[in-house]
Amino acid sequence: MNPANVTLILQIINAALQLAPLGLETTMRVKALLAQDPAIAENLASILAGAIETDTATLAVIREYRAAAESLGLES
Amino acid sequence: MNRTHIGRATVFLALAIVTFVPACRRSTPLELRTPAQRVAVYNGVLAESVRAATEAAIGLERSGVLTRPQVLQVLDYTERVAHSSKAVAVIQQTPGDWTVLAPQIRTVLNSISPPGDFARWLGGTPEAAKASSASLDALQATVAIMIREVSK
Repeated sequence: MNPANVTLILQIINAALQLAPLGLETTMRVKALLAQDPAIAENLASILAGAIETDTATLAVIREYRAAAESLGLES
Repeated sequence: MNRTHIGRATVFLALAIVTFVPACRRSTPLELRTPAQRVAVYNGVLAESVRAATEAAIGLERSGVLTRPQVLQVLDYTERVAHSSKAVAVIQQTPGDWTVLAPQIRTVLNSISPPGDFARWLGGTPEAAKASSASLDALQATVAIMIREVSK
């Protein structure tokens, strides 16, 4: 892995840790992702499916928050 | 450095060792992997990080660090990133040659406009908001790395 990319990922992990305890959970997931060997097809499929699942959950959280904000008249 | 910072630094160091030492010992170095595999891993990291940044921003509103309008500004950005991250994963699930898929991924990633000034504005608020701002900057840096991968 490129040293610059390692630095960046460490930066993300560090930033996530500062947002603990949520950050710690994310850090463990990131660690699991990095530990997987993407050369193995099953792992690659699992990484892609995991990203879709996580993004879908994130978008649902955002939709829910926006709906709450809208109900309070804080969003146009 | 207070006890909390020492604890975080210790956990951070331990995680760094656990994560990267085994990778360094592998007989097949990670740098030999294909761009498609690297993009998939970075995108997985991006998805987890954007989830953390989103939920953390909402948590900061609940704890009174950020106002609801401020959180909505953060979510405007994290929503763009989550949509794009999901689109990248869907494209990568499509069977096809990397030379065909890479330009599609590049188009998706280039559509993410950076967090812009509000990250710096958040940086001027209390410590927890600074951490949130740093994580948004890290998200954008990850996007930049992925764009480089699909531009090779």
